[in-house]
Amino acid sequence: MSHVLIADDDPDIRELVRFKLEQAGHEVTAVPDGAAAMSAHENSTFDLVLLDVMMPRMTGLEVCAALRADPAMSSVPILMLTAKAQERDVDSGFASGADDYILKPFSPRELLTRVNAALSRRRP
Amino acid sequence: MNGIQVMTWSLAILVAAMLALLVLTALGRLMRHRQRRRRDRLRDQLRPSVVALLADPDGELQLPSTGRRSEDLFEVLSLDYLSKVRGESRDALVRELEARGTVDAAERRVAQRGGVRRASAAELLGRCGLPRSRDPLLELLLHRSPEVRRVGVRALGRLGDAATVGPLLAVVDAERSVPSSIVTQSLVRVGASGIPPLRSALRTASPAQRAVAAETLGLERAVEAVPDLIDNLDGEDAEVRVRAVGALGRIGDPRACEPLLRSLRADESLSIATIHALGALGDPGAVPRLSELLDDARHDVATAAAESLTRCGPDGLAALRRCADEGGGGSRQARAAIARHELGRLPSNIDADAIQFPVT
Repeated sequence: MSHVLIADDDPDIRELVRFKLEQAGHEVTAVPDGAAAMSAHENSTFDLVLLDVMMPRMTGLEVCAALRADPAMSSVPILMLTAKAQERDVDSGFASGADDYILKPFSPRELLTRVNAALSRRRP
Repeated sequence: MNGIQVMTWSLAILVAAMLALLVLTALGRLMRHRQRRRRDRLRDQLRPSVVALLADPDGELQLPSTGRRSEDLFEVLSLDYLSKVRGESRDALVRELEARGTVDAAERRVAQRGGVRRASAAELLGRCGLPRSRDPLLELLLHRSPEVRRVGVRALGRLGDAATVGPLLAVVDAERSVPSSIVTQSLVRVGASGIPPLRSALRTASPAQRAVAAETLGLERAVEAVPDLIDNLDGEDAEVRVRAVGALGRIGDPRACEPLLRSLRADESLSIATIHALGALGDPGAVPRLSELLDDARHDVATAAAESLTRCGPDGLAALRRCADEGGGGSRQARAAIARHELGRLPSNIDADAIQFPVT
């Protein structure tokens, strides 16, 4: 069972992703903003992180860059979940250290597939 | 009563009125706050059921019985989720809305009075994207109220139905029209299926409609529309020509380079737009002509040419450096454009403390 962190300021998205991942057997920590995501990172170990880009207090890009600065997080998959689909936004996401982008509106089934694929790539 | 008494009474009435206003305002805010909290509580109660359906589209929706308001809130919650999910989850939610009669009710409300209810009904129908809702929404385009027409245009764009392109274009210059910017946004939402009728409109429609069609095709990056847009560079209507130029720049197809250069020579009124489009294309073939324009007496033309040259690759930058070194006309614009280009290449994580400035 993997432990996934989801950070999104939209409670509708947060609860949907939590439900879908828990239904698939993952343990999920859901937080409403970037600062809470960093707090969660300090208190727990995660196998995968899902970040919304536009969040209050700390954006998903800032969280991603901060997580990647931690050597312990270098191999943990980070997926950006966002409606910002301009080329430069995608470039910014990857430049911050994200491994993949999931665009909104999203398919919950596809999101689960991508999460599972990222987790399986990580395992030795 | 003497004057002092009159003044005293007047002040007392004024103070009482102000206090009453303050109390009413505070009460109003309190009531709205309580309504919002009640709505949020109900929403939190309903959300798990909707989330369960979205996570398992083959399942059944089971709403908790929270009274009459639960159906209204289910509609609001569904409207939100329809813009956030796609695929089979979205289809399951739309099926549920149809099964509950919500779509039928929305189609009825769209034809009734009441701006807010009509707008929310149109929004729901647009987001459901059901072909059956096309005709009720098309009716809104004929309404005498400009707001109702705008609501209809926005909702029709969300349907994603190519059959709505014609009516949407028609409303641009109809007697009861809608601003072209709103129509363009909706046409973009229609998506790739709307490209063929937009291309057809470039050949047959009125100038106002062709201008909107050209802009939309540019925003869609419709490569297949490049020949039609090139044909419109020679049209009689200036607005159509400007939009066609802009669209060709956005699409970035190299086939547009020569026609744009011809347009630059033939039509001074389009100079700035055409220069920007050539920059967006980034074709080195445009460098000689853009270099000539560095020396143009019109400051805005020379500046635009310099900026566009920075986007034409090494040939463009070389032309700018030659102009800057020669020191003649246009050298100032060339130096400014080179400086902006170099600044744009600096890494975003630059450490300001590490920069060493020359000491003079």
